[in-house]
Amino acid sequence: MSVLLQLLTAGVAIGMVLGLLGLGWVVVYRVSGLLNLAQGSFLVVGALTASALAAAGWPHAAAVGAGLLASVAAGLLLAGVLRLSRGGHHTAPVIITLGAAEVFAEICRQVFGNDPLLLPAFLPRAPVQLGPVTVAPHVALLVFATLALLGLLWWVFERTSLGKELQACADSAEGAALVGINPGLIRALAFALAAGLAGAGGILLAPVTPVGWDSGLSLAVKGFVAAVLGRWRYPGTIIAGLFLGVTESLAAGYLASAWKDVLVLGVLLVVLLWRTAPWSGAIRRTMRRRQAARRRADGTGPGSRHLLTQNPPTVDIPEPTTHPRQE
Amino acid sequence: MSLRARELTAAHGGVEVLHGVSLELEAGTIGCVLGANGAGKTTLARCLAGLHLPHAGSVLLDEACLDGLAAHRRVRAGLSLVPENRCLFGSLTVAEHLAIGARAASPTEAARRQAQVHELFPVLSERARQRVDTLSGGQQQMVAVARALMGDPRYLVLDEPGLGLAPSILAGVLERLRSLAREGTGILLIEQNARAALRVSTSAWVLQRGHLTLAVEGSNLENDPRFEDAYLGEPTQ
Repeated sequence: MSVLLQLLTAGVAIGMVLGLLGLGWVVVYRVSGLLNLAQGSFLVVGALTASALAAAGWPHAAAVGAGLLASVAAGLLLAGVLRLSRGGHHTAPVIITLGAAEVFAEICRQVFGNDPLLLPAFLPRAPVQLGPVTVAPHVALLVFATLALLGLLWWVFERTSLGKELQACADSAEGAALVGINPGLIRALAFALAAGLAGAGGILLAPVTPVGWDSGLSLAVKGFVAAVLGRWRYPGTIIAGLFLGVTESLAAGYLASAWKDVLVLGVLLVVLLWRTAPWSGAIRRTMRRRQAARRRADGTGPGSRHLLTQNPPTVDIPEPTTHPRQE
Repeated sequence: MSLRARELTAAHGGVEVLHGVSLELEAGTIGCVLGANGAGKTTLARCLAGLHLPHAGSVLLDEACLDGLAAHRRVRAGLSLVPENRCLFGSLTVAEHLAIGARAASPTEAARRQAQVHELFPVLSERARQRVDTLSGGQQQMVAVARALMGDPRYLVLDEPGLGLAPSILAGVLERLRSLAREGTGILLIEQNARAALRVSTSAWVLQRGHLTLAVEGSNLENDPRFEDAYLGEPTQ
């Protein structure tokens, strides 16, 4: 029983981080229409910077602040590069983010070395009792700080004018421009926010698990799975991240740790197959939408037969309301 | 003091749809661009607002050249557009649209404009806390117009403002635009519904397949026989 509880706790902890990564995907995708494969690199950059500086004798607060800054700077850098690439082929931005993930990883290896780094613990080592579970203080910090971050994020989106402008830009970049909002600036902010969330997740994770220079891309993919499972919505992505974390942890505990990635990516495949399979409700909804759109478009009767043979979208991504190249 | 388009040439999807269009709208007047579907009206509006990049030609606002200026900068310079497709923020409420429309104004000024907008569209004050993607088409059109009015622009371009509005509501909107024009705002109406627009306009242009074929100034444009020939009489295709 206690093993199960420990595995669940560990799963919730990693799930929180995956949820933060997933939120980064959602923020960037909804505001700019881009899929950012470098999302995990922001986590690695933040975690490694903070760990290395703390190991070098910096005060923890300074090291953590520097780590966060490094993440945000990486995010802004990538946003700037993507801005320069506007007007190219529509697949160019994704390829650029993939390349950026590799570049960030290689830079991290050159700067921080080959070995994964652990952020030296700054809380007492004695485990604390939280209800029925015993957890290390850093795990408790990870969980509660993530919750606090989520609360902060909710406040920004629901209660501040900046949050409203981010949402406005996500809904219609042209509409945002027509009220005087600079969509390019908001897009850069979205990248900074996504990078900051990932960096915070990495810094919270670093005292619990060593973070390696090469873990960026696989973390990014897990964040993507969380975003897809969460249907690109903020609360759904967090829940999906927790689900993935717990699944991963249970797989590592009861099967073997090598199995956990197989399981997480298997979940993605199953979900994508389910969403696109002929027996799922999604396809019927898609077909109804298409038929309605077709009737509206050309004023003809019910949709024609070949709708049945058309391939539905393979990834359940909401239509981007905007594309940066259209600006 | 005027909003001027000079020899605007623009393409849409590789096909040239505007061929050297020039027009000048004086501040404090209402002008009207008429044209059938596909004549290039929306492209003209988008070029003025900076949403569409023309191949050639210039847009001048009070003699200041706006070329190369992004749409959000043109808004700050005082030129606003109510686009044909509305470009609303589906997940925001009506009240949030009004607030974001007046984002550059002081809170007291925003409250004053909001009171005016609510007077024009009483239904928007009833629906203030409702998300706009749950509104009817006509109510969404009101939000689009209201959002632009909240910015208190010096020049306002409205692309098909009557789309989805009941005639009585449209009459109210036109009356409001007329009083805005008396206060010095330049207003450019881009319309298929010619008569209602002509009634309030003091200058009008007819756009046919990307060319301005007629430019008329004066009052009583509604009964001007030349529009019968140039536009109203044209068979719709």
